[in-house]
Amino acid sequence: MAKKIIKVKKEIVVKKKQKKKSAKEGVKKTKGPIKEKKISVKEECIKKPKVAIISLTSCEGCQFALLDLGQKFLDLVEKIEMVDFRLLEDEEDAGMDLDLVLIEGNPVTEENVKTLISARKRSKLLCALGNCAAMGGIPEIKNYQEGKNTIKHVYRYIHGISNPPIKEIDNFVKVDFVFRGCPISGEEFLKYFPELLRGNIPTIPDQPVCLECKKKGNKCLFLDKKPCFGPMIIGGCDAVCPTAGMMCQGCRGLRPGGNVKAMKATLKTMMTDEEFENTTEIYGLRDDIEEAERRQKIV
Amino acid sequence: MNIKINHIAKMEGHAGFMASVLDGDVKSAKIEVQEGIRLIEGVLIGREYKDMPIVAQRICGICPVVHNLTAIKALENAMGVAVSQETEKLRTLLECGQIIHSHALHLFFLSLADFLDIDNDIELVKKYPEETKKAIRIREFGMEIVKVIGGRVVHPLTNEVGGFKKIPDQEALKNLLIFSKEALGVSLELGEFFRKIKIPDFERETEYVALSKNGEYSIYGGDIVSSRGLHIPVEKFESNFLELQKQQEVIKRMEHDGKSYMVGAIARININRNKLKGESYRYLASLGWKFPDFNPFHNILAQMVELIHFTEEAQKIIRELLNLNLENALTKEYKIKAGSGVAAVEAPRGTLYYHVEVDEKGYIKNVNIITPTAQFLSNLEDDIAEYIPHIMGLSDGKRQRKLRGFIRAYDPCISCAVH
Repeated sequence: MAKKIIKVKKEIVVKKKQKKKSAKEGVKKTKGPIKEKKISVKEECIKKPKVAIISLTSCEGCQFALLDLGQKFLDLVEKIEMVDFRLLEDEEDAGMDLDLVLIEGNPVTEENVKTLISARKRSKLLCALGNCAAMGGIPEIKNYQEGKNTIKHVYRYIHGISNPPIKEIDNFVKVDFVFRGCPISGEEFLKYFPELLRGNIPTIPDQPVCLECKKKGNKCLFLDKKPCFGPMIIGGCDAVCPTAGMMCQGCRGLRPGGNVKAMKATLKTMMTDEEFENTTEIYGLRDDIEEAERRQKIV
Repeated sequence: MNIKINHIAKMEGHAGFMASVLDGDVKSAKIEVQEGIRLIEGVLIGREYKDMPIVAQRICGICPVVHNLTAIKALENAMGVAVSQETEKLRTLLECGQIIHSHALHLFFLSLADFLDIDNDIELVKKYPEETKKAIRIREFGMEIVKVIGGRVVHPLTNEVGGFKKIPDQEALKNLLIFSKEALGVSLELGEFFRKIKIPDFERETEYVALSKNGEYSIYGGDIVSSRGLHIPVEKFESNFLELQKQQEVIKRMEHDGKSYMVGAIARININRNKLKGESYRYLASLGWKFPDFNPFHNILAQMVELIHFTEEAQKIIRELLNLNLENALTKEYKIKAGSGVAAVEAPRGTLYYHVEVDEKGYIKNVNIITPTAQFLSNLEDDIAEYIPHIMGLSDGKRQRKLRGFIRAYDPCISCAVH
């Protein structure tokens, strides 16, 4: 990768011992009390944050949502040092330390788990990129069905094929931020990514999908007695599904301030309990709802 | 000696490569799939039919449109649901958009660097800024089609059994028509650039398979036709082609008459080239190929021909749609009933096949999905086995590079193949 290099030419005072360290970290002005030596340092230091985009088992749709930003994405790549992005680079990842890593998909194979754990160790910040990494996604449906046996519908020989229950990546590593959705929203990515590059963890406002849906001028699906999960789901997707005439199925996950109990009561007149439960399975929402209900009971 | 590539980047999904060569003879050549299983067919069983397109399109982030289309078509065939010509035209246009943006991505961003001996795309876009702009522009045209009709590029939303939840407005279609004129110009310029690329000379005879229909370069309908004279309706696909799983393998391979075969752009050009018209016809003629053409590297240029063709085709369909009443494409009421249905649609990488059985309440009893990459994987390995002796004289590094380029020219999608 071509690196935009910041050339630093300064007359500075450094302690002899610190010379090497400073060269690595960038130039710092330090006052050494005993042995001071005035030296001229012409230094080339790379200030771009190191970023990797790593895909575990997935459709890679979230990476494509990034690539689909076209020039906007290429402009963004200019601002970082892309250490690993397999879609665009042939070079093998050398395993260097990272400032930020984005993880897409599910840890399914042993290799996936190893990659995930090593990514966490290497990186200052780790983000989930999309619904599979964050909530389990489509593959999690098997957890609610026949679990280990779902595989028998697909393969004749199952020996030696890794088939664990699907777990979100935060079961394996600490996750600092979640880009939500199936797929993620490219525009939302552009909004929060620069903040992450600065080392800050952004907060997505606790607002329902409905807010953006209204702004779009859509007629609320409830008015036609059609179900929608919008009120209990965290917005930021520009209400893309209801805008296309489709109910929100909750791929972005529950709002912290959402009322699952009230939502279920509202939906009772529009869908059966079984339909509700089945729909929540599509994006791995069901286990989150069960947990929210447990918490509501305790409160 | 062994030739091993741990990880092939710049393609969809995870795979490596391993070959063993003894005294100049290639004993084995194998794509090693490192993708985890998601069991898409398995998780669909017992679910409502309406979930199928939503779940199945998530097999692939680059070609969700074609999974969506094929799933819906198979379900409609299973339940005997008829749709309007407006619906069919919108769907065909969606598939044109799908192929355009997928081809533009593969041609330029995934494969081109291999023919120019460049390691990564950051370098590529710096060296070829004008061509990059063109590739992005034509890709944007494909994506815009999918967005206008499908509501979103990755995992579209509007298409469903019986028709569309929402139809595009006239204004959006008119803008697409304007865009298509620019896109055609850009694709021809890109075609000129690609024509000058040095493509390796290598040939191996194989069987090509694609959908074919009288009078059109078909993608959304037609029969299954092969370059060796097979001509069968889609319903007979599974009885003519064998799906098999080797132990410990997560891709179920396909064979025809005990042999490997090829699908995708190069197969379609070989079978359906006489149906090309206008600029795409002229561009193909300018390449000066002799048919049948058996150079697998030509898949790149075949995609370029198709990029031009589907841009022209999209333009034609948009014009037709502007004169039709799109209200007819909105989903009409239909009866849920038990049945079994199959469908095949031409995906960017070849024929995608779905087979589904539903019960009388619309719950899914059985699903089989056969993807293009699963179909051509063995053909790719057979090709490489014959290609390796041609590159044995090269250094390890150069040989690896050639092999990566070869594999990528096929445009494999491992996520699709494993699903």
